Amino acid sequence: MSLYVYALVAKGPSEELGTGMSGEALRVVASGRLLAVVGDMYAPPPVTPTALYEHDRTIRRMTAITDAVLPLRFGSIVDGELDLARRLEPAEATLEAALTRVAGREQMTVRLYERQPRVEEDTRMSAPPAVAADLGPGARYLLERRRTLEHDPHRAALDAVLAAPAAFIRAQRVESHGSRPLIASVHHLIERGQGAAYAAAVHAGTANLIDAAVTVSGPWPPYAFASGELT
Amino acid sequence: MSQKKTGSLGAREVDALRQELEHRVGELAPARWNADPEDVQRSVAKLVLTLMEFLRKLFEKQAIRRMEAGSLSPEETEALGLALMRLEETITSLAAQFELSPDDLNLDLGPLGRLQ
Amino acid sequence: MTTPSRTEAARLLDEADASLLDLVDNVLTKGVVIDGEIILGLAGVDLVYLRLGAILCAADRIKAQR
Repeated sequence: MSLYVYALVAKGPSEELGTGMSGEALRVVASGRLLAVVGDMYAPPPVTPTALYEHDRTIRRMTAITDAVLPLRFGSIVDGELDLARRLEPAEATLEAALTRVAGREQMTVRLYERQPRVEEDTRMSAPPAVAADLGPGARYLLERRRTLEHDPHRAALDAVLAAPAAFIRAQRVESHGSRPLIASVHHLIERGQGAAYAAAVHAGTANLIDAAVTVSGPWPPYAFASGELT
Repeated sequence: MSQKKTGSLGAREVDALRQELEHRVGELAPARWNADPEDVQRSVAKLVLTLMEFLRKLFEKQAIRRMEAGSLSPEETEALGLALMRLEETITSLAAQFELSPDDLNLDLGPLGRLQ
Repeated sequence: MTTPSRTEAARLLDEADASLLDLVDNVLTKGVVIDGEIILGLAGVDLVYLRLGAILCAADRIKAQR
């Protein structure tokens, strides 16, 4: 019998756990110093929208009945409680720290997109720097790199996204992307219940961006804050 | 906790997010499903090049700052610039060999964000 | 452990609308990973240089504030 592991929790919830994605009864098992919410499963779940929604739904219900919930990646199946303990043990301290960090908190996600047109960028970039003709290639390279970094059109937009909801941010994770027009995703950990205020702050703070647009989603369980090395 | 979304999203934006996720999820099927040693090599190359790229950006930022502050002699500026230029070329060409995009090498520092 | 095969995930993503894409991002690419001999093996190095990066970046910021 395999175990599907949904999340780690800091305290065993006192309320009914309910059922997981296959209708299986959920239970909390101890694994070293950690507690995990698991369900018995005969076979791995198929990767379907329904399964993904059910995984998320189960984790959301955990967040409703206990304060600190660290989601596991979809499809986390172990052979049994011993196997689970073996896998968690090397990261126990890191996971405990992560649980403390997400306690009473939830995740909001902002995605930053380029908006056309960017006519202005050409004029900005084409202003030639006053470069002495006798500079070597190394010096010219540095000057060009400085110009590129200064005129980064995305920098202002990203700064706005990071600054606007500053009062709400308890932790932050920024991912930059290459698939245009998508520029970056920003995940913020906020106190539970602050989602609407956070979204309003982000929209207000980015309303004047001419070459970028944002979407805000959430609240989510703290998926983006479950990985180890966040300071 | 019920999830909401605000802000409008056109087809181009959705496609971009889809493409990004295809790339990410594509990387998740780990090397052990596929005993191809090239996959493992690529993973190692990615780690090494990501670290190199991180250091390159850090050094570049420091070099520019010192150049602006005037604390570099012309010779130092030239030498630093050349070294950084060569480092960038090396990273780019090695990344290309392993079919790694510039975005693959962008180190996510968690709450510290990216070094941009 | 079931990490989605490339085809399963590709199929899913092809038909996904915006909100499913957000869900995929969260549940398939984030969350605690307890699997992966090779991933974990490399992740040891991964974590080391992430820590290094965090320290260097923090030092960089402190300098900037001076």
